[in-house]
This record gives sequence, C-alpha cells and structure tokens, in this order.
Amino acid sequence: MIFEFRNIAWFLGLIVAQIFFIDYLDFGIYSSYFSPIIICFFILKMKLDTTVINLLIYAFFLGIITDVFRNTLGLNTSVLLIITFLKPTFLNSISSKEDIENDVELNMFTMGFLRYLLFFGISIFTYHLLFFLLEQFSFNNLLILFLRAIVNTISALLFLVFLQYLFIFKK
Amino acid sequence: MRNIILLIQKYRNFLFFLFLEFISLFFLFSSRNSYHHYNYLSSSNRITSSLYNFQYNMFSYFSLREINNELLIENTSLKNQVLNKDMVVGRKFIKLEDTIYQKNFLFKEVKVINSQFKYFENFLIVNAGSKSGIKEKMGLIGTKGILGIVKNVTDNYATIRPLINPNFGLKVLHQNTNSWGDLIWIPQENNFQNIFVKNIPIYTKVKQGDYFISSGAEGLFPAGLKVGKVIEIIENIEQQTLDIKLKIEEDFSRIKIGFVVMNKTVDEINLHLKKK
Repeated sequence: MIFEFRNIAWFLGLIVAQIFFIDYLDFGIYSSYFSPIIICFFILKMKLDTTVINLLIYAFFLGIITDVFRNTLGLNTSVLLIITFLKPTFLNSISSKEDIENDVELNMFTMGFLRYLLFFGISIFTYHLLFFLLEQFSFNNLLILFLRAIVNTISALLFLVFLQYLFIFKK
Repeated sequence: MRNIILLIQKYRNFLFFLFLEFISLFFLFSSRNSYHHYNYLSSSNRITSSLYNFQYNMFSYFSLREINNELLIENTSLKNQVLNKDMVVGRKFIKLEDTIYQKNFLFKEVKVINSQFKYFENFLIVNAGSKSGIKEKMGLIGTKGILGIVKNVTDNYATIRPLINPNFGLKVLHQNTNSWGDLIWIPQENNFQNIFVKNIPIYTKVKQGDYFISSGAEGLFPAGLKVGKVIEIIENIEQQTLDIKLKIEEDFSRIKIGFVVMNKTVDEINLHLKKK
C-alpha cells in the first residue's frame, strides 16, 4: 500500500516538477537548448517485475497529461511509449539479468552510480533524440539536434541526481 | 484460430504497445487542426489553465515592479499622443459629437498566465475567454509591440499563437519604404528573440536599426504597431529578395500583460478578403 502511494506521489510530483519548474527555467537566449524532460524517470525507475502492459498504461497517461499541459498532444506520449517498450533492451545491454533483483526500484543508490549514468543516460538520450526528431519532423539541422539532445540529457541526469538525493536517499 | 489466439497471447505486449502508439500518433497528426481535440485536450481547458492561473497568482507578485515600470512607460507615450493631438489653435469651429468618427478598435486587458518560448511550437495562455467577448482570430498586443493571434477560446481562457510559432503568418511593413514582407519564425535558426522577414524586394533600402510595423491589413492589429528592429540583412540572390532578421520588440520570456484587439469592422474586412 505504501508502495502505491509513493508511486502516485512520484507520478504527480514529476509532472508538477516538469511543468511548473523545469519548463519555467530561463537561460536567456540559450534557453531553447535547455528543455530537459524528466518524466521518463517514472517509467525507468519501476521494478523489473512490473508487467509491460502496466508500464505501457502508466506511460500513456503520464505522457498524455504532460502533453495537454505543454500543448504538444501525442508527442511525449508516443516517445514515452517507445522508451517503455525498449526499457528491457537498454537494461540488458548494460548488465546481465542476474545483476539487478526483480523487486528493487531502479535508482542510483540501488544500481550504483556508473550503471545509473549508463542506463538512464542511454534511455534519456534516446528519448530526447526521438522527441526532437518527431517535433521538427525532418532531418534538417541534425548537428544542432544532437547537440540539444546531449545538453538536455546531461541536464536531466543532473536534475534527477538532485531529486534522488532529496527523496530517495536514506542514511 | 487456436494459433491466432496463441500468437496474440505471445505478442500481447507488442500489440498493446502498437495500439497505444497508434492512438498517440493519431493524436499527434490529427489534433493539430481539429477543433474538438483542441478544445478539450489542450492547455486552455479548465483544469490545466486554472492550474496555470494558480501558478501565475503565486509568482506574479515578484515581477510587479517590472510590470509597473512597463505600464508607466506606455502611459507616458500614450499621454504624449493624446495631449499633443487636440491643441486649440483658433476658436472658429466647435467640435460636435458626430457620426463621421467611429471607434475602430477596442482593447481588452488580459494577463498572460503562461508563456512558452523554448519549444518548436510555442503558445501563450491568457486569462480571458469567450465570456469576456474574445473570439478566434483576434490580435494580441503587448505594451511594446504585437504578440500573437488568438487560436482557441474556452469560457475563461484563451490560447494565443505568438510570433514565435512556425505556423504564425502575418504581413508586415517596412516603416521607411512601406514595402511588404512576410514574418516567418524558423525554430531551427531563430531563438525567441529574433524572427525573419522574407520576400522583401532586393532593391528596397533597408538599414540596420529600421523598424518593421504592423500593416493593419486583415484587421487583426491597428496599423503602425512595432514588430521588431532590423539587426541583420542577408541578400538572397536567387530569388532577388532580402532576408531580414529582426529583434522582436517584446521579450517572450517575461511577458505578463497584454491587450486583445477587437476590430469592429472585421466582418466587413473578411467579406472583402474572401471575394478575391
């Protein structure tokens, strides 16, 4: 039961942090480069024994709510669904199956910092790359697109480290 | 049949993924122009916009001083215009209330409760809707220049498509030569502070520091409002036109107030525009 409440809190908290905090950060003329998206953390941190169908439903609603706020209907949702479906692939690519227990939430304290960087880095980078590609819907300016994806991935990872120290870290 | 069921069971995750993905892509590609989707699943619906309004009420307090300064500056410029206009020269004629003059534009002050400026398609939300008489395709101006066009209206809120949106289109005038140009914002090349003016003939004499103003055509904005200042001029030899980069007068990262423009003669103008 406590687990359920904690999940609901993460779900709402990530949306609020995304829409009312991160989207409002202002970096002057460079702010078009800083639009990190952190909502995929909710999907990525889920326990491994959560069924894929459940994950997909979570992803769908998480994406739709964010999209409604940001006026990009369907954009976050479609990318988040792809990331959800590819999550096991990313995880297998960085570690063998026995390394991580099934009923443990994935974060930087349970995975270790290096594996956190690899797993979350790859997934969030893919997220941003697909997001920007789908947003501009052409292959023009690929270099700038890659730059934006990298910058946003790094800033999203940093922000997530900060969030995890605040809410997950236990002495 | 049994095999089909087995197949579905085997790939049910993938099929479910495909189903949801299809729904979201359907949303993505069909909702852009659909009225109903936009009315319910966009940021100007009741729940999202009231949340944005709550956030505005909490944080607008901190920028009161800036807003106040902007309004003071605007007030002085308006006062200059008004007081300089009706200077009494002689006492031969008396100005009567007549029907020759009619007010063309009405302004409704609104608060901009959410302003996007980082994305490809940016939108603004203002806290006045159809109950205040706002309709689609009205202009929105700020204290310094033009901001955007009303895209979608609900009861108490409205979504604005600002200049910094690739789907925004407007004809603007060069102040000194009165040449026509098209405003185009290209998200890959522009940030939220500059915008392109294209299709100006190459022989037009445009200098840095010149202003581009609204033309008053289509009845969206009053003529003569500032859009931006020229900062860069690129000659396009193939098309024999100039590509001009403007610095937008308004700063979209910190707008808090605006005025919706209601044109009383917009129906007449639309009648003429359709006949072409």
